Amino acid sequence: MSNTILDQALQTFVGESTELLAQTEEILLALEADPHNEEILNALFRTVHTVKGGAGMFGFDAVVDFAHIVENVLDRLRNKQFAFDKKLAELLLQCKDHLLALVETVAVGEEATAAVYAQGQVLKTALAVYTGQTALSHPADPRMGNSLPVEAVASVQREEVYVANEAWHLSVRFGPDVLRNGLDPLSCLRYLNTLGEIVSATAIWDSLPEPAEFNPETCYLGLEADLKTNATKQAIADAFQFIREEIRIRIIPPQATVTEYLAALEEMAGDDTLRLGDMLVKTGALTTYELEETLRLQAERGRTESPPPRVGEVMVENSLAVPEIVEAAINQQQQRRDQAALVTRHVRVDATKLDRLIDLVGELVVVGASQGLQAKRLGDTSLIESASILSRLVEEIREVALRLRMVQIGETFSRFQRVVRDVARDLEKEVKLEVNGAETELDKAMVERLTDPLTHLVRNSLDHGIEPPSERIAAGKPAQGTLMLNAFHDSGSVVIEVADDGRGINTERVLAKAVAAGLVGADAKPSRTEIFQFIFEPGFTTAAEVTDISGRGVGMDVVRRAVDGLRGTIEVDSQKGVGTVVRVRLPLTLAIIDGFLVGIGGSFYVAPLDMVVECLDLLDAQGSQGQSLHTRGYLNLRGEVLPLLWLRRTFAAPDARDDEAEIRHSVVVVHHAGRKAGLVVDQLLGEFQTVIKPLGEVFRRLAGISGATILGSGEVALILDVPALIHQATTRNNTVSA
Amino acid sequence: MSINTNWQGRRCTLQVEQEMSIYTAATLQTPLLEPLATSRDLTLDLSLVSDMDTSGVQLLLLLHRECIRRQVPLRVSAMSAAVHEALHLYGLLGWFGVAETLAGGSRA
Amino acid sequence: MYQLTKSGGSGMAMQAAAAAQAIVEMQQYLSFIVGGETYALGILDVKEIIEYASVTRVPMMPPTIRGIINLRGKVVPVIDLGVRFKGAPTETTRRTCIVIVDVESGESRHDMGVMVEAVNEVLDIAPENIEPSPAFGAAVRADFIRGMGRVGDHFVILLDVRRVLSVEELAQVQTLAAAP
Repeated sequence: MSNTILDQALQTFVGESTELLAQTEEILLALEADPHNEEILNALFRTVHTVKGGAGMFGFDAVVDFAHIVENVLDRLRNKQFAFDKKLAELLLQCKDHLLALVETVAVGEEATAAVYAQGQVLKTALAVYTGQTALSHPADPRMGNSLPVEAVASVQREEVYVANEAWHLSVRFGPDVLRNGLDPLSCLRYLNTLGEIVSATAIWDSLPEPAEFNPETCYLGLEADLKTNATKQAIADAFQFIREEIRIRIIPPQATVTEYLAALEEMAGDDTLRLGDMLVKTGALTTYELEETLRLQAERGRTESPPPRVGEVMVENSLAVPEIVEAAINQQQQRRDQAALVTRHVRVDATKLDRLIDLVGELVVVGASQGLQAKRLGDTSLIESASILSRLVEEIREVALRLRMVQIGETFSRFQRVVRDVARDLEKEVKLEVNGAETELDKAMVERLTDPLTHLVRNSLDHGIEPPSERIAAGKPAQGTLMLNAFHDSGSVVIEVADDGRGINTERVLAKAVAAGLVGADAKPSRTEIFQFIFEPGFTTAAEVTDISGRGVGMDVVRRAVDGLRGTIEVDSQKGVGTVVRVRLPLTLAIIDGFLVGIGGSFYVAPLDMVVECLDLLDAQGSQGQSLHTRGYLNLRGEVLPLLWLRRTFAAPDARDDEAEIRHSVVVVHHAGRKAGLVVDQLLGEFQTVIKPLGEVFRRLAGISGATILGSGEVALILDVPALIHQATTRNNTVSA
Repeated sequence: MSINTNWQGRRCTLQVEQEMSIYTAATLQTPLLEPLATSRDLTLDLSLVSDMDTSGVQLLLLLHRECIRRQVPLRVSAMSAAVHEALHLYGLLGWFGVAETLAGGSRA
Repeated sequence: MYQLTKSGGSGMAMQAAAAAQAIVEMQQYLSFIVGGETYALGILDVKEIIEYASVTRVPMMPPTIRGIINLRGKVVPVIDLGVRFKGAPTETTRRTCIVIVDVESGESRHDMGVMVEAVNEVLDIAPENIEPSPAFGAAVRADFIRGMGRVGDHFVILLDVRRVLSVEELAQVQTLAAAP
């Protein structure tokens, strides 16, 4: 184990202990107000115990010793051997301060100072009144006295203590996704009940989150159960085989050693061994004595070693764990803490409030741009400067606000586990779901609107793509088909793929159907890509036989409309017999984009900046390529043929042709989904933050324009639908559009 | 309506009229927890719960914990066999105050 | 005492009835000129009237759709009624206005701008002065007309805003126009 891991672990310990001791103080004060509250007392016990456990891991004897005495006092308090009064409260507060002082000295690798040492002795004497022991039982010991009964230590050191329990003990923690994946731990329990007698069962539900964080589809439960059975360990383990990958389980044979229980306790409960220990006593798995031995062993491990660094070695020597496991455990601990921190910092916000914020930020962007323009017009330097600061801030707010709405696609993807499982079962197919890029983020609003089309695509793949096992085997494929959900970022878009290794799409049949449906002429020679696009035509939705032939078709137009609504594009690639990929490409957000402003025939247009590759002066680019400029439908761009789209003509701008010859045209080179085109425009006006305004129902069939935006001047500019324009440029001879 | 809510003053009786499972848990969470805000005394009638899985158990535990926190007494007045079996397997019958009346029957 | 109460009560009732009657009777209409003819829209359909300025042309749209404007941050389409009624674009003059109309389309409501040559006045037309639209011979399509309102000795065409500004039809027009 490397030193950095140890250092990290040490820091973790110090941070955590400091936190816990601060809590201890709060708890003590609460207990003072409500001295008979057992919950509070237990909480107090836990915090002290956790500090002790942590210190033990590092071999910080002084901390362990002192905490142990405090624990003893608390234990007696819990057993009502004396009452909690002001005096004891005061003493315990001092003890807490002392523990903090000890933690702070050991953390920097120092021995306790004389003052701290003396304070420790004073406190121990005071505590001895409650423990009934003499604090200075080992006056010769110059360091913190060892106040544990020596015999107990010896017994743990020399021989294993066996647990009397005659039942198997099962300690199970179910993974969070168990339920979502359609597996109910209850059925495992039912099965266990058939193996023998569950003499006791206790659900562990400490990890139930706050109601606001509670997700009904996430599993938070665990179980401690004692099972009397003649079955083998393997047979017991088999009860959980269906959820094997999603649970942590520990099966302890009857009459195991304390060490085995300890290992289970630590594995299952993490910091909270004590709480779990109590539970084991309650359920009868362990006797109180056995628990004490177990916990003592845990504490001993710290004590018997000299100072740090020691973390995992202690455990390894007791053959409790291998170094990798310890390392993993430390990481896990860190993760848990991170998660805990995340949970506490979460604030649930009404989505409509968030949307309102985004709207306002959108307005702010517009007003900011307008102010910047006015400042420039006025030429006031300080005003220009303050406007530019404002616009920078607005830009930051915009980014933060948009990030508020970003969520990971993973949660949406994981829902499909259930869909895949259920549909595959209904269809009697074997399908495994593979998810890649679950951490990819996109706009929440988009995620919500994606669920239905994605479900559609997944069902389609399962229904028509992936073949039944027999057919697959006959085709030389593994019986189990694979459905993949992939998400990744690609040049400012989010790409989501639904891929299967099924039978693929029969292009000839699709084409034949398209011809029959009048979507394309009988003599047309559409490309593969174009053929696949037919699938998305409404005419393909109802024809059942197409479904049978092509393996696609049901409701794909619905999917495309949904994707269109998100300003996305959809394409299919398929290889007969190999599989099909449906690729959905979406913008990162729905509200605001970075745009590039151009002028065409006296109007303003915006191209999404992420689709702009470069800008050229048409004359320069033309160079010596000869031929009249205005009749060309393509440009030689560094040896590459770049199709041109003359937007003035495409858009039939009112003053087209009149002054076309005089205008020094520019070319905006745009790309999308691997294709490029040059948009010929009149003026290049630079980057522009674009708040997207929908154009409304009247314009829903308009191709080439995807929306509108409002310029700083208050004028409306139109947003170019670059994918549609590229399509037009690459598929049509557009040099003469009139 | 899957849950009937009955108020008598600040005493509230909730009758769940459908399965409590992964399929319904999301819709049940709010109506189950909502009465806590105003109720002084909560009674659950689970006799019409046709099916209960682990997510249903979790929901009950959540409700149970929230009741403790708010010091609202929670009582289960009746439970169906499905509910009983689930709570029994999880060793939770005792938590909902009906252990004596029903547990004997099921263990036999 | 009794007398007083009774007469007072009936007096109030009469007043209320009269007021209700007035609301029904005194329907108000905004009259305006398109292609030299006078038309009117129910005042309840009209949200506001703005001067005609900086309408952004939307390419590839039929001439009925004059363009879009920025109405306090919202993008609103503007319909040229001259084209819609008689196929003749409305000339812009100093008197040209855009009447913003609240249109119901399916379940959603949205704003639409109606470009007119000039706005005249708000007319009070009682229901008994409204006659059914003529079966033929009217200046515009019969289904655009809700009725003929008599004002003094002449008639004003009262428009059925839902038909005139039918989103279905406007989008339809455009599909036809967009076809090669």
